Amino acid sequence: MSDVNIIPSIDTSEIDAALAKLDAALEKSNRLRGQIVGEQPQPPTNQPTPTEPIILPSENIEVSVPKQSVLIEKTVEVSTPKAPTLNAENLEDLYILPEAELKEPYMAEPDLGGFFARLEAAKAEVDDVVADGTAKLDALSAHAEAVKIQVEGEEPENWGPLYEEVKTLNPKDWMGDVDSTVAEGQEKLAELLNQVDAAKTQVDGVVRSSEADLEGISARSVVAEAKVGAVLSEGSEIKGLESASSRIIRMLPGLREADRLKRSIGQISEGNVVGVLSLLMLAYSIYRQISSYLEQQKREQLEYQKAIMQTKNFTTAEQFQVWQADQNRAIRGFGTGIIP
Amino acid sequence: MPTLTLFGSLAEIRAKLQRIRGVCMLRAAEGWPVLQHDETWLYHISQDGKACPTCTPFDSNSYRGDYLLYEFPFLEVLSPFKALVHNETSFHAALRCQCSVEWVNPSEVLVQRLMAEFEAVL
Repeated sequence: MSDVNIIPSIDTSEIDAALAKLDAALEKSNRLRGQIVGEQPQPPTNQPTPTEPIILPSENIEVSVPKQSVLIEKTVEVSTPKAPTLNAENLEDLYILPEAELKEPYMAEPDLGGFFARLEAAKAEVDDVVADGTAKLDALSAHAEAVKIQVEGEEPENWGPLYEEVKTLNPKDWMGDVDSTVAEGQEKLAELLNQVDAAKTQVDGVVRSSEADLEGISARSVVAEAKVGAVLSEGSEIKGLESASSRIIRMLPGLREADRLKRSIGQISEGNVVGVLSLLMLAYSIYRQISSYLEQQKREQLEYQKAIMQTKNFTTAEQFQVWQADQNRAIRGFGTGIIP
Repeated sequence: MPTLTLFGSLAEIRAKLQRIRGVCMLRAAEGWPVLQHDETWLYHISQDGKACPTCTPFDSNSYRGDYLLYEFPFLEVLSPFKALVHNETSFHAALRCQCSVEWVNPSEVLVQRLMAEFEAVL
């Protein structure tokens, strides 16, 4: 396959038109389906169905009592056939249905006996609540009357055992305990005041010694400032010397190691643990340098031996050693003027 | 012209039509790469009368689209319907060959490809 594509020209107008037609048909069919669903047989809306509950309006019952009035509100919920205008007067008229409707299977005659029984039970429950509330209010009123009489100072005929106990109490019996408690508290307060005075004295002594130390520190700081100023005035020269010495140290490998050694020892003398570590690393570095130098010497010696053996057509190392000993003798002889 | 029959309820047919329309929109935007197996390409020797003895017997030969690159490695596609084969022979170098190939059945192939993709999405 290649990178060139063939792009067809496709006219989708007919597909769009078909889609539009389909949309219209779908909408129409949905509308028709809705109508068909709406025409299905349903129970008459103005007739009650046996299974649908209704909620009667709340009943507000006002009850008068001798002392005051109270409002008791109760909601009675009864499951009965639905009837918006349902009340006791037109209830029976409402359930006189046509014969044709009574023959329908879903229009069975409602159980009116059960409804009236539930209504009577609800009324009896309301009556019970009202009677209970009335009795409680009567009792409350009687109690309030009795309390009022006590407040006005009249001696009640029967106040009970608590009143008798209160009457026998004598305040002089517990006054002695109160006096002893007060005396104990005063002693503790005096002791606390003494402790506070002692603490104040100690704090004053500490403050006085701190002020004396501070004066000494101030005097020493003045001297130190003068010395720092003198050192700072010579700082540029010191900086130049430092850079020059560092340049020299970088130029000479041995001096570089010596500089590192000096710094490590300085750190150790200051109690710095890093100094020990840097000293160890420096020792390791020196060891590696020496060992690599020895390795290189050995390698160069072997290469030299190999080259000489190839040049002189030696086959054994002994021949090379004999030749090398001769060379050494010749060099020594040359150096001393002896002809071998 | 092949026909495509859609079955199903109105809603199903509508969904299928929308998928078909999506395929049409995609291909109208991207198309297909050429030199595929279902394409038939016809070999034409150069019309200047200078066709070499190696190329001359190839005249009017038919090739599958995907075989062209194996047969003629120096193929140069000029358009979706035409390519220069640049056949390298013992008489001339590849780029001097003026023989060409032509796609002879694009309408049929494109309709078949569209129908295959329609059936794939239904």
